[in-house]
Amino acid sequence: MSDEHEIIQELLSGYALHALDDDELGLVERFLATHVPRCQDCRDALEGFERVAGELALATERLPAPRLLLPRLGRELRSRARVRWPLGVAAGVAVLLVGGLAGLSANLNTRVGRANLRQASEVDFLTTVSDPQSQVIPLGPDETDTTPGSVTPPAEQAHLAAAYLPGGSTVFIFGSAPRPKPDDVYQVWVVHQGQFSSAGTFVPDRGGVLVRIKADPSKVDGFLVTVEPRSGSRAPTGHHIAKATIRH
Amino acid sequence: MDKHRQGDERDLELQRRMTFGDRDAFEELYARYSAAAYGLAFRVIGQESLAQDVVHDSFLAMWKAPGAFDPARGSFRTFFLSLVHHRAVDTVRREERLRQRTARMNPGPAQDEDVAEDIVEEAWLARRRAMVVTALDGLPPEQRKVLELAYFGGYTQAQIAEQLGVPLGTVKTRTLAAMRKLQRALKERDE
Repeated sequence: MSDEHEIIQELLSGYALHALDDDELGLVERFLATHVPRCQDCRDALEGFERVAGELALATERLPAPRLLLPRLGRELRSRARVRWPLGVAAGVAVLLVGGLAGLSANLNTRVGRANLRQASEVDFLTTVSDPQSQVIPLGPDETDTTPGSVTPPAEQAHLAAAYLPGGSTVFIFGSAPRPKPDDVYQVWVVHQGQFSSAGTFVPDRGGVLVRIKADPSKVDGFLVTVEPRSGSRAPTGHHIAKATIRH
Repeated sequence: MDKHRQGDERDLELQRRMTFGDRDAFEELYARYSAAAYGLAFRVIGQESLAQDVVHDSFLAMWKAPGAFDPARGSFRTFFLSLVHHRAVDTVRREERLRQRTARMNPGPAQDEDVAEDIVEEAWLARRRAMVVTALDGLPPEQRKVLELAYFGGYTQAQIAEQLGVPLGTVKTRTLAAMRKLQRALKERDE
């Protein structure tokens, strides 16, 4: 096995154990987005490491959970509605979660902007959306879009939402959207005081979208998704596919 | 089909029923995994109330978004316990002061009347547990050490290197070797 695979698999083994620091995590996420989807050997290694990490839990002593925990959960189950997502959004996520995320990773492009749009892991996403404090806001059509010409693909085919935890620094954009034209990508913008900063570009795979943005929701006014040329743009130039405003 | 696979199949069926809001299925999964989850969370965090919160949040997460589990990528058991582990490690890192805890080296929380008594484990799961323990015991001590510090201690590899006084690269090499050996050992025992 080449040194490159060995180095990547070293990182993947630490990743599966949740033992990497933030810098290395960023590196792994880059490999997950570029190398791993194309490398069967590294994909198999990651899958194997994740299984081992799950099995390791069994090596610890079982302890009876506090007696009051189940009744407490029972009350929560009755009183808390399940996550309700905008129509179409859940279907997109289901495609991703059931089909796996490797295909999407291959299409994720973080070269634009500050490279802070990353592949989201199921566990991170699940942790956020299942938190009682989580906010899920739909991204809808942007009525202010004055870009000339017709939108391709049609904006109404995109069903996206943003999820975040108040006080956190991560926002998930998820749902479903049609593939853009071959030379185009979607670009995510963080809106603050009328200014747009790029969070990165992506192309949905199998219709599903699940990406993570590094942003403090308390300091931004909203999110915008536009269609841009493959290399991305420095400011929004293409049609607005979806937009959300955060009400503080 | 062996008992182990039957157990996984049963988990899958329960998880599917849970997606339709079946409370009985939820409670059966709770009965199967709450002790493993609590044991894991307590070992990583070393504090009862936080460990309880981690287990609570993990079960609630599965109830609220059961579709997040992908059967194609492994068993429900490994997915769920990974979720518990992930949350426990995040908790311990957030609460860095817990590093000072004394409970960590203790065998477990005090057994009082607030603790459920009945933690009967199904035979197939007990066998699986024995397999994992045997595989872990079979690792060279230096590999086992880095693995345990990472997984059960919640330390990053950089922290482990500092703690053991070895280069970071050594920690990475030992981790990779340990994970590969465990993978092979568990696979052989599966076959």
